[in-house]
Amino acid sequence: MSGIVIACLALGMALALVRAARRPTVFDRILAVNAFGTLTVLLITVMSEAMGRIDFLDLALVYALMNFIGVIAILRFAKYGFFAGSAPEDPH
Amino acid sequence: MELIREIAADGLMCVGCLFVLIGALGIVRLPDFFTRMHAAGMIDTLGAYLVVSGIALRVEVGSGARQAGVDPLPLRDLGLDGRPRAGPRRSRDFARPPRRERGGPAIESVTAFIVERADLFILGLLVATALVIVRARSLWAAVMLTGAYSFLSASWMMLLDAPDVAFTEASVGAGVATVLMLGTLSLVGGNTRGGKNRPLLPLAVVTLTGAALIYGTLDLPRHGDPDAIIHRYPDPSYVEVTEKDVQIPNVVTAVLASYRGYDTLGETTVVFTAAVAVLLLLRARRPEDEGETGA
Repeated sequence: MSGIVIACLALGMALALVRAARRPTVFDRILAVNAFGTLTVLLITVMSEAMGRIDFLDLALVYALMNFIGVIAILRFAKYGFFAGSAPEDPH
Repeated sequence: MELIREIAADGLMCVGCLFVLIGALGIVRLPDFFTRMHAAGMIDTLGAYLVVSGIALRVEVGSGARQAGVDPLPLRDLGLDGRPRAGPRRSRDFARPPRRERGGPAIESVTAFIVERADLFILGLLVATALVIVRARSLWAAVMLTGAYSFLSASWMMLLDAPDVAFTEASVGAGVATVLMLGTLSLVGGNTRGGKNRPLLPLAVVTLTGAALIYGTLDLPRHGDPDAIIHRYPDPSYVEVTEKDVQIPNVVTAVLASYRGYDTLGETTVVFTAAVAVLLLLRARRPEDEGETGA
């Protein structure tokens, strides 16, 4: 069973990469990279169970956090163009 | 009871896989960004939750803690894992072989094959990601994709049984490096200069370097060779005495956090200071300040 799950996740990762390569917009790439990260987290979870090393789940947690922080950083950059300080005044 | 749990776990994981595949197909095939966003949401919610709950059903409560060398006493006291446990508490006594698969030798061998060959797949994806990075014209996209690349190489390190290196790669490569690169892009702009493109010299350099590196690997011992020099030096008795010495079952952790604990503390201080300094530098420059600083 784990083998099938791993194969499915692998296929999903390849498809997400296809979307990242095709890019109509930069947000498509962000989306694809985010999905890719989620699939990596799932892959590690399933692999750690299949390998009998369930303590590797900690690694999946780190990945999930990194994925989240990375996407926040990229989106912040996409909106404001820099990280420093607070957001510019809202024009509305 | 055990059978019901197994069937439920398999069912959850199957449905989860289905949603992962539907979501991934949707990301590629759906016509515009917002519909693709819906597809990605499917992976993040139903797909992830179902697969993880399937895994949760298959894993015995507290087994991770035992493998990490901690006695899951609170869980036992709460009666969460349902069975009394007595006897040895050291981690290696609880190490168990990978689980046996239900469903006959065919599925079992397929699973074993996929689990064993997962590294080939991940290395293949690494190459694919690298090619996509090379072809990306926007530096933005390249930065994001290097994040994905780091995640992949960290997963590969996990498969090689080096979780500490994988941790570092995930947090430094995928996390800090991405943020720093984006910070750089915010200062220098995100477009490559088009036009002049002479690939021959870089190609020659890369080919030569690659050949030299591959030549270097010929001297390395085979992967997992027990006679390799790293397994014979320092004295293997390290592994035997570590647990008695410092009560940490993981030898790598014991070396890092105890035998050379001051060194690690120093390293951490240096890295922390560097991170604070870089953050202060990034903070110091805002677009509206540029006139004042004369930059």
